[in-house]
Amino acid sequence: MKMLKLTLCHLYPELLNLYGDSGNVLTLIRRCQWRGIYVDVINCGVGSAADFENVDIFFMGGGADSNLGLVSNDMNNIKPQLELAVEQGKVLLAICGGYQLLGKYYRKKDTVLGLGLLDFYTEATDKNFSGNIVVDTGDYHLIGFENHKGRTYLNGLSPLGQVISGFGNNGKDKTEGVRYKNVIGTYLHGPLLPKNPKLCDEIIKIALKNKYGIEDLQELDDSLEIKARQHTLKLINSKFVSFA
Amino acid sequence: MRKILAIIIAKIAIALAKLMGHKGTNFGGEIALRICPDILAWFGSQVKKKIILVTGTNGKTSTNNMIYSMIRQSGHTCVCNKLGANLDSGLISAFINSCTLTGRIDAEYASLEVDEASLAKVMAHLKPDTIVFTNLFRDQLDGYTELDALLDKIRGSLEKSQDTVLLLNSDDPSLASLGEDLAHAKYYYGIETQMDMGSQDVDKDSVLCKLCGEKLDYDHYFYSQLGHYTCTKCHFKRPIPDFKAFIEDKGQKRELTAIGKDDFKVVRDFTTNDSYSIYNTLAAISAGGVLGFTAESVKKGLENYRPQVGRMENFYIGKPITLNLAKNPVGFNETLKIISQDMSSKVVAIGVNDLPQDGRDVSWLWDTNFEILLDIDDTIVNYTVFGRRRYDMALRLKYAGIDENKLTVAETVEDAIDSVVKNLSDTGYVLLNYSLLFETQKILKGRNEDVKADSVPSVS
Repeated sequence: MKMLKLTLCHLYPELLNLYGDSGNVLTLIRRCQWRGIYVDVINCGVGSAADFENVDIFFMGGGADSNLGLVSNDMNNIKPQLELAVEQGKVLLAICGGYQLLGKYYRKKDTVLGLGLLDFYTEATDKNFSGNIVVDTGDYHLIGFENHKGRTYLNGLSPLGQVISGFGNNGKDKTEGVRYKNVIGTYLHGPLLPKNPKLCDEIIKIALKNKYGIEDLQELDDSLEIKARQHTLKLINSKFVSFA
Repeated sequence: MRKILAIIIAKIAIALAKLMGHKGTNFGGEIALRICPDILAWFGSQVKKKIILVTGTNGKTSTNNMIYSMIRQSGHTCVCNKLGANLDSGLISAFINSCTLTGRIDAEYASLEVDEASLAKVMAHLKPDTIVFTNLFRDQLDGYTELDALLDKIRGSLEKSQDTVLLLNSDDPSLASLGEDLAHAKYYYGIETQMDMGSQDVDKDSVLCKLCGEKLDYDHYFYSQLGHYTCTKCHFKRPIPDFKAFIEDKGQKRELTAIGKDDFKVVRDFTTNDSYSIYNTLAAISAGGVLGFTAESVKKGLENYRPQVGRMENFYIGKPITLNLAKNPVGFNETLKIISQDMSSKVVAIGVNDLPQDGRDVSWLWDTNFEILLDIDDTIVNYTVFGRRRYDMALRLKYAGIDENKLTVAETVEDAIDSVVKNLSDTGYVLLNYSLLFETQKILKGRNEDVKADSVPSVS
């Protein structure tokens, strides 16, 4: 059998590097490796010549506000390629600051940033939404830690899930994140993927289907991940343990 | 009257807490603060000579205790929060422990470590003569937000205290940028020797110039963001230190020579390759110089300094066990580097809590380079994880690539220590964050076999 290989493009790893978000990249790599799938990681920084044709999964983390400006400016150069990739159904996972930048705008006082890849928007406030969060995607529950002053309004787009405990996009409409085709935007740090192996595997599945037409994915021993989920859910609220 | 009431009740509370086996480091101060909100200012006004604050992300407790030791060796009385309770309540507790029932303090100096995010709050009450800054890295991000916001906050409080003398680390671009903006009397310390501190982890958090936003160019790099740097666009560069350190490798030892003005020169040996201790010691020596102490009393102060609880503290329970506090990626990476130089067989126990004083977000575990342990994985017989977020730590190790069969998830601190003791190995390491420290230290101390104990902790 020919060796399966996926290409992961880590966007602006030097500037978007807060809150352990790179742990998502490590988790994607490991869960592929454990199944014998090779992952090639391309780091794409400011001014890097972008060739996205072979990329299967894009990843963006969160970053300090001062870095978001640099990223936003540079991202305009790669917007056409990203738009194409999104329409082709490629995976784009964006966390917190990276998520905010995908929208129509992210406004903080006089500064307005944003790529306009999707139609949602974000207004910065002074109050921090910070704490553990549980989200229901319909298929499974996501666990994470949110920490953001931005309030995101989806403008009719679909959320990633419904907030069970925590704040989510704006603390009002119970939505968390965004899901458009295979773009996943979310405020969930933690990092997101180690404690949410189902989402991680969903991403790998989509990428394999896009590239090879393969639909099934080998099961892994996730007993430690499940225990970690049970334990964390219990710390948040003992009645959530069944969501593990 | 309110003050006296506050003091009496707080003193009783501290005594009760101690009776019940707690350290009572914040508790008494919290009560006093409730009863009398301006009590810190009142205590501060009684300090006869100087108030020194020590702040920064890492190294506050060690640096502050070294400075305290120098002040004592110079023959002065001094109030100090030795155990590292560094919120306003902790500072108040330190004063309450040293005052009479009527609240009188008989101290020439106060040397106080202050949490970097609480500096503004503390400075609203205390007017420091000197502030010693160790470094500014990312720490408990959910409470502290980002480094830029923290710098703004610190800058704001310093602007209101123009007479305060600042002692800053030249090698830290965040602190140097702080000095750049402020008109205060300033002194810098830095390491001149371009030595290898064994760092592989380039922390890009503050590698952008804080003045113009361009990338900083590093001529030499120590660890995290510390090094010799110049901005590629504007005039910003590493300030020339007033206290220069030169490091010489002498076989197993490293010798630090710190040189200030007017023949001020202090030499100090280090047994481990611990870049932390070198910086802490340099900061303390420089503080001694700024405070006007002689090189002789600075040296004596360092000789008499003993590290506090959980700073590479040694125990012996069937084997040597080292306890170390590590509460953020930079601190953890430095500790992991020290462990990776030990080729004997070992158990590594890691405890992670997520209480407010630890930071409620544990994502920093994924910014920490636990992969360092993989290089010596064949010498590690068992990995034990404990604390409230033990499963987060377990997953971190799994995804780092360790063998799950070598992993023990301990439900309690006692179980974790059992695992370190019972798994057959030459040595053991217990690494943990703040709120696990005192409970763990107490258990280790209780089981310590005195005869074989390494009773003199290393000065590293």
